[in-house]
Amino acid sequence: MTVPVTPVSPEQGDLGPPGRQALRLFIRNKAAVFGLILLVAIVFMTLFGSFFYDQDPSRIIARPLQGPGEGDAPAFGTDYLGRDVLAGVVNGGSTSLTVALVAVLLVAVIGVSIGAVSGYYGGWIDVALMRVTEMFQVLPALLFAMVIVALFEPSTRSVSVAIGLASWPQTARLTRAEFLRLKNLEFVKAARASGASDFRIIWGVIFPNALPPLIVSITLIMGAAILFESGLAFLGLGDPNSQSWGLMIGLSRQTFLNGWWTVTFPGMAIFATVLSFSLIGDGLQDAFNPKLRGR
Amino acid sequence: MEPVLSVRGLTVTFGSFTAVEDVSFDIHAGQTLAVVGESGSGKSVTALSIMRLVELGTRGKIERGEILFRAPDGEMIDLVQQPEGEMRAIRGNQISMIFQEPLTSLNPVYSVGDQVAEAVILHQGLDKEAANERVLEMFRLVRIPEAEKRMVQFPHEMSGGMRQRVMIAMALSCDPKVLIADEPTTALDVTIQAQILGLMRDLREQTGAAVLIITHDMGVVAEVADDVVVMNRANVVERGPVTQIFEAATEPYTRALLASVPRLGSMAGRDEPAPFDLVEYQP
Amino acid sequence: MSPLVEVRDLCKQFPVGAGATVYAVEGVSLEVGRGETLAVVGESGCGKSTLAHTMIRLHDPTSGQVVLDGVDISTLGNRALREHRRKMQIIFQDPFASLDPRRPVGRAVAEPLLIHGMAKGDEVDEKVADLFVKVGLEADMMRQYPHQFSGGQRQRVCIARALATNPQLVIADEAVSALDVSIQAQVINLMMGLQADLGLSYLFISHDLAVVERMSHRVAVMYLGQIVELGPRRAIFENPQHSYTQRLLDAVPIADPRARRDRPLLTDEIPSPVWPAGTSPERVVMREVAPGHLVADEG
Repeated sequence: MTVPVTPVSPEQGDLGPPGRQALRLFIRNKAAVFGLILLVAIVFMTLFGSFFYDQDPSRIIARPLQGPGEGDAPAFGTDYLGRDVLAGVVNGGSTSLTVALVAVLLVAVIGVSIGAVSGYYGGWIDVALMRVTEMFQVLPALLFAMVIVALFEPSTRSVSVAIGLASWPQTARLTRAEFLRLKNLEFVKAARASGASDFRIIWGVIFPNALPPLIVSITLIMGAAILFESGLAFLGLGDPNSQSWGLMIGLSRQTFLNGWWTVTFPGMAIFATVLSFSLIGDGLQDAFNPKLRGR
Repeated sequence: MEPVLSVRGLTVTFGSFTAVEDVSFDIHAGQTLAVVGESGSGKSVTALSIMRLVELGTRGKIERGEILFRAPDGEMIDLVQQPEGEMRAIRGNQISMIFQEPLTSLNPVYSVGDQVAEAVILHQGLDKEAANERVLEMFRLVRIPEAEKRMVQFPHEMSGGMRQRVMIAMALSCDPKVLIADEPTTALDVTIQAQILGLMRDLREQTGAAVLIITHDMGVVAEVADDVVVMNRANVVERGPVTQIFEAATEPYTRALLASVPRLGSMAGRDEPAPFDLVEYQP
Repeated sequence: MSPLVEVRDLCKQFPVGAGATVYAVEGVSLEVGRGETLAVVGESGCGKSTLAHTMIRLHDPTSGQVVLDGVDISTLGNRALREHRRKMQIIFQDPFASLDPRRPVGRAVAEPLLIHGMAKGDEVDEKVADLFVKVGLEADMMRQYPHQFSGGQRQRVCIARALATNPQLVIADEAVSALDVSIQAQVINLMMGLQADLGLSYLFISHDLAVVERMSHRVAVMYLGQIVELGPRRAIFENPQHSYTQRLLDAVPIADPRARRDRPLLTDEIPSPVWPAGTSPERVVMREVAPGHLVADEG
């Protein structure tokens, strides 16, 4: 057919998988990239910081409560026992990050499984699982976590489990909502019509489509889990044998009026970590849903 | 000749609502049967019942009736009685289905080639390489230009017509005995619809599959069907060869329906627009 | 007598990132006479809906004029536009989406009367009741809610709402496309009856050529934002000149199994109206092949 106009259609192909577009949008987002760089720096400091600043954070090295620059104090001063605050900041991240990571893994596994099964099957299964979810949701999270930690005595493991158990309902509800939305779409029907099993439909067909909001949510929960861990440690429910930013602040709460540096530097570390997760989470949100940007 | 698929006395309910009541029809190999009706007539529920998809995720229930399917070994099996595991082996393999919305009936996160390959791997146990060969062959069969290049594309990179071709390729990839097409061209532009209808006609001759087409469009029925079942309010109103339905319908509902169908060319020679001469139909 | 609506060289472009532009409507000129139905046909993406929406200023045109009853409304400010909006109303495709589910349907019809100060107090109910009867509904249905209506009845409510302000032009944007054929035929008959009674002009946007053949006086065929053929209905349907018009007509399935035609196994598709930065579509040149029958030159 001859047509009067012959537009050069712009290249329609090569948009690539949906994830690649999101990555491109994410990289263009300055705040998100800043968050990512910040996080990489924090993780690097946590993993390799001791090579560059080789000080034992639990050793008493100088007179207590010397501020930065006072006497023979190290860069960030000393705490109420005379331990090096900078060494604490450098080493304290590993507990915070490990606890948050384990907790978030737990949240992902429990929350996604329950939400997926609940949303996919519906009916009485959904009702039963959602009642359980609500039960966990109405418990005050901090109190619930404190009870668990108190029951199993404070350790990195018990704190992680406590935070995980207190945080999964949100993920379960989000997953369920996504599954409810996606399960009636035609490609799910088409998968069923092509003979796919329930397991395959849940994990191979629906789940990859539910990933974007879940990734965003999990990232934000990661930030929240770090705060949660700090909160528990501050209340004295951290692992007393480990170093953590929250624990540093918690132990200094009696003395911080005499030494602002004892809480400010670990506080800034927590703040920076949570901020980085928030920025990354927001950036992912925008990258996955370009239309919602600027809400 | 023995039918490939024989629906007998099918009744499907959703709670207290009867969506399909006592519906019977036969489909023969190499033939196209159109089930035509307006919204709420029960035509789509009939199609989903044959696939036994009506009970999944909804409150639908096959209350009565048989859906006899001639298995490859020649034996007639009643699909209503098959356990879910057996049905899974039949769906997409011996009976396959294409849907109305090519926009949403492909999974957005996988390339179209992978999606078709998966069906082949699942049912025919081919390895990845052989499956890709098969996909390429199917893409060429449904006349997707530049098939190799298209295989690695994602659904959002394709037009509606190309996506529907992919769906047809997927549906035919395991050489099904029966192909169910639920409003396959409704969402497409008219020139693309013409291409897909031509393709479906051509493929039926090539593959010898029996085709069950569900549609509301009398034009589509006239284009592709050999036999027609007219449905209204859960019931079969009339059935017969396509020419008989169009030229000598006996039921008032069929006649009323045909009177309201706009026909291209019906206004030839008239200068002024004219309203439809509607036939009164009181149920 | 001058035509009711004159569209002159109307353009509507949308930027779509990376400097590319959608030329949705490109240099469209047409007229709608009083009491006349002009159908605009074409496939998705051809710009027919954008044309309608730009004409009633749901979008502001990029350039060009829309002269309604002697007044150029394409550049009017909001306040001045409101007075003229009364004269043209639009009916959309989806009668489900265009009514508020939480309000009785009578309110939807009363709204334009109140906005334009055309009725007060008891008068409102009276006028709404009149409109309901006019479109073939019972007057006391105005107190019911949208979910109590069928699709066809809802579209009748939308027509009543469009008629509330005594418009001269009603734009029907795929207004019958979502309806079952039996309902569709009834709504079309209703629209034609209303045209005869009230002297309405219709701009009938549709992809369905068989429906267009039924109810239009003149037809414009759109392709990639431009009109490629425009003329009296009979000329377009019985003597189509442009290859795209011919192809469109050939593609329509005919509800007659004896008229079954061989379908060429084509795979060509309509190109997109998106143009990369630095490029733009070439304007078609229209030629009059018969009185009132214009065809774009094909290169």
